[in-house]
Amino acid sequence: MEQSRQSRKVLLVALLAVILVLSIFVSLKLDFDTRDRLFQSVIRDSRDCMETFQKLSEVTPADAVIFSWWDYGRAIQDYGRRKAVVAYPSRDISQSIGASQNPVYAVEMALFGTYDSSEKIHDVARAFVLPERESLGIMRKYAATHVMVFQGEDGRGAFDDLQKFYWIARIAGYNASDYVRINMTSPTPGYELTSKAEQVTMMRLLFDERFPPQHFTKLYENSVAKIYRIEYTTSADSTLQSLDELCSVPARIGSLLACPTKRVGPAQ
Amino acid sequence: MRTVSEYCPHAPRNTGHGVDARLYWVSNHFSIHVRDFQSTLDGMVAYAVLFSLLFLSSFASLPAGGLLEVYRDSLLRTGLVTALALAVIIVYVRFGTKKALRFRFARARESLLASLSALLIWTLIWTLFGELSGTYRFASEPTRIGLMPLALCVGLLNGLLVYAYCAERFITGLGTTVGILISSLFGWLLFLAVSVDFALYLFPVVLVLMYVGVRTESPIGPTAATSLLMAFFYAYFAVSPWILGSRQVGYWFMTIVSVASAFVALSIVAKLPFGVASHGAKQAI
Repeated sequence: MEQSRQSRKVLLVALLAVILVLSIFVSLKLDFDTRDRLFQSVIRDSRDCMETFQKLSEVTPADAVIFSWWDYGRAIQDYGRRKAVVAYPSRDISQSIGASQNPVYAVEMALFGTYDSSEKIHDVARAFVLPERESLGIMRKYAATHVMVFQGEDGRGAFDDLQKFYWIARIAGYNASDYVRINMTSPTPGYELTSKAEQVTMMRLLFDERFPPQHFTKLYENSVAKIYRIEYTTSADSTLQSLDELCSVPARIGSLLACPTKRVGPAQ
Repeated sequence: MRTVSEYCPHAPRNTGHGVDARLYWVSNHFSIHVRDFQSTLDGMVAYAVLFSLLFLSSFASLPAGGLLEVYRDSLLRTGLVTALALAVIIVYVRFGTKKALRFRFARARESLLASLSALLIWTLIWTLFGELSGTYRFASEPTRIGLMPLALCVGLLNGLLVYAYCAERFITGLGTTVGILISSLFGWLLFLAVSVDFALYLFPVVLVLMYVGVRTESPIGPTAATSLLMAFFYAYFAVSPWILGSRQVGYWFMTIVSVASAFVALSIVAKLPFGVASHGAKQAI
């Protein structure tokens, strides 16, 4: 009788532990679900941003594949109804996500988050930092047909690729300050492009009037974003593509060829 | 023990009884002993109902909207689910358990005074530390400010469920310390569920409010204080400038300062003449 009562109590404590763990799980899931919807909601609140995605579905064919930083991937799919190359971060770059500064959210992301492959994220970052010709190889690898870059000012930096460039360059293995410097002397921080910025694909797409891109044709622009079509068919690109293919053959043969060297080197 | 030592021919120089006593105290207070099976079960049923309903509500596909709609839907969902859980618990108490529901309104004034004092002391110390050291500052989420009354209502419902029913059951069932700890943890989880930013540093103050509720034998004060806490921290949150430089360090530091502030608040409130006897003392078996 006494043993049965004891067993009942042990069972009760075990059940309490299970309910506690499940309750923590439920709370974290609800919090994650709400936070996960926030960026999409910020986009919905911006008339210009929604107009951009609406235009995306008008100026691009239905089978277009859009190359952009991962932040915008889900909006491209949900609001622009086009396929995005990346729509989620990779696990190894989670520290670049603002919300991960909150340890609770970092746990939620680890538990419930969706992730893209690390290789893809690093490739996209590299494509934005490298010079145009080298970026095209990466864009072709993912069958991208169009590129979207964001220049919007919403006060949160949500649609500002220049603000995100620090992390994009870092993820690509480069030093952002080699290309853009933050000017802290003015009340509102401004950005100064360095002489090397001209070589960077993202800068050419963001500041196309200053550094006109060679392999991208602008289809649309508003205060938030720019949409470009990727021009793979130029002869220069074909030559480079052929060289890239040759250089990708085993090292012994590749070393005999005069393979092009990268114009933008990693940070020293 | 001392008497035994005096008569022992080879008494050890250092008996280490102090350490043993401390270990015994910790083990006695924090190990789970089921004192009342039915009360513990009642508390568990309440939380199982609440969190099961919350889990089911997570499957409801909410319409896509702007920021305001997302925040409002999250609050409404938690509020409605908590209200539904309260209704289920009332039915359960009426037909499913032998233990009757007892709302304590008698010491409402003391409870309110003690809870608001605890909240004030915690806020004062925590905010002053942040201001003077420049470690953190309050920032507002403009979209959430309009939702403060709704957050207040959710806090009220949360408080009613946690302080008026579950805490009483767990303390009767598991003893004062473990009862307070478990009830606070479950109650605090609702702050997480409605996405209060940086919710972790609110846990210490919820713990203090739970203690106040137990000591004053009335859930009125902690419920009111929790509503205020929920409403304020839904719209405003403390952000550390350290966060800009180093990852998570500022957040953890703020949580540690919150623990220290809650400890001071608890020490002060414990000395104030708000409660006569502890609830646990009356319920102890």
